[in-house]
Amino acid sequence: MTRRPHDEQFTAFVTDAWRPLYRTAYLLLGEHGAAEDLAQAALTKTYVAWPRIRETAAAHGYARTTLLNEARGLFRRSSWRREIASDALPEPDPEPGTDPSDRPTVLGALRLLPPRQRAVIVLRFYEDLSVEQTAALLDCTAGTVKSQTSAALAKLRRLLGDAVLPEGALHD
Amino acid sequence: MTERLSSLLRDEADDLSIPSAPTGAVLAEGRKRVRQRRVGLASMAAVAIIGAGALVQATHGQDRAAVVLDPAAAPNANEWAVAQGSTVHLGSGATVDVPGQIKSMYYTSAGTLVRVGASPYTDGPHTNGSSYWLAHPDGTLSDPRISLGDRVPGTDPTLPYLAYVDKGSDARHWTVKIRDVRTGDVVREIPIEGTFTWGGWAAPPAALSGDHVYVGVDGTLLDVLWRTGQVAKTSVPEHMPETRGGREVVSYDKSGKIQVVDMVSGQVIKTLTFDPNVGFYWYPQLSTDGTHLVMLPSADCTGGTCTYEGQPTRVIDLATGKSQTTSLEYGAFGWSATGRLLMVDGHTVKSCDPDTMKCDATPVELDGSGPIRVSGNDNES
Repeated sequence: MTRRPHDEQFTAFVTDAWRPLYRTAYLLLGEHGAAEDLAQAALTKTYVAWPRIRETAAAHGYARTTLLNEARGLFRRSSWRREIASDALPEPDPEPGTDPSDRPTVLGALRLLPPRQRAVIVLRFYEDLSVEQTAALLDCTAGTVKSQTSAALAKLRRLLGDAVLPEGALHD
Repeated sequence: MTERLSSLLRDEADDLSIPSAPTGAVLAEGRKRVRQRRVGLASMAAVAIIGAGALVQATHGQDRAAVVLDPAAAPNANEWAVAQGSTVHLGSGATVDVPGQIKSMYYTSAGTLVRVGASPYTDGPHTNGSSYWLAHPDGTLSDPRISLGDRVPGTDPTLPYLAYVDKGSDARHWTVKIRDVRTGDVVREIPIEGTFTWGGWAAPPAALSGDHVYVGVDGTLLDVLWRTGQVAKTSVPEHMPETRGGREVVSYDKSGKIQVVDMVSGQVIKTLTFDPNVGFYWYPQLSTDGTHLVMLPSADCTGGTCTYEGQPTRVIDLATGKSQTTSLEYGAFGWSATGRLLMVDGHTVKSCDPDTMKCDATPVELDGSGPIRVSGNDNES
């Protein structure tokens, strides 16, 4: 793959890569519009870099890495460190002993986390990145990743219950 | 301890409502970024060249010339270009995608100038923006910001310039312009005079060959020495000039002869005769360097498809008169920048010595999208 891809070839690649990229982007950002923009930006950069990518399989990895790097740019912006604006007030944590069917979904619970804690959870437990890799992406220390992970897991445990996150899962 | 969380995350992510992939938007934006990047690189190169030119001018003080004109340089033996749709395959092994359908290609010493538009035919719609892109041997593309509309320009494989004619103050006055394809800059403007009613283009057609530009005005070809600005009439009758290696094929239909003429000395290199009541059956075309003449058979065209099937083609060495016979496919042959005969099938470009017909084959991926364009042909219409 040493040249610009044919339209059909790249269209097939975009069709394959779009859904996984979009999922990661949505989990990280929690907004459909922002997720679409992020995944699209990653694929556009992959098109530009195509002559340097040797195989289609490598292109998938390149696009994923590009998406995470693009996300890092967003994470570094001070505005991203604040909560996502929402008209809805966050739901209070469920009382102990609440019927599990009334608990939020994992994605619903993720939306209730501060952005940096949500990113830590997605990168660590959805993207399977190490503490160090997550720290590099979020532009913070490994210690901050660990503390943010611990705080996020504690909150998720309260929201999702022991069945999803047993007591011992609160620390790395 | 977090396996359940990971598992639920993946399950719920799988169930997300996901919009359809924006393939068109990604392709369009990707192409735009590639163009911007290449144009950016080309602009940086242009700044360097202009800087060097300014330094030379300062050194020479009184020199009127604002630019340093390049001397002729021998083209690369492997320089050829074969295109289909929006993709150009170069003899260097690189491929280049251009923004538009490829209409025609022109050899220059700076790379292959590619004319593009909304359709692959030169009389088809033109683009509003630049219609010419420069494909470099390394596979990069630069935008010389040239858009000529319906004109016939000329290039020479030994020079980095494009020659064409612009309208002057009235129907008798025109300006020959020489533009540097590396920068798009006009490096010479030479006024010429003569009416132009015999052709349907926006200006008289032009051919660039060494220090000469030949322009087809009514009744004759004008010989314009573009470096000095001298203009002279030739004895060659009006037609679309295709001067190659300083030579021109001139047809005298009433007297039934076709001649290959050296345009500088006026010497007739070869004469072919035919019955003027019948017309000529073989169509002659010069090689890019003017050393060989290919005698193309009349094409058999039905339903918009043309073929030379069953009709051999003669390739004549103008120095010795010796000839080779070969078989060409309609529209799928051309010439390399140095005068090797190119033959293209669906998968291979063969570059052949016109004296021995020994060929080097290079595989190419042609996608079948529109007519094949092979460099070394004038696709003007």
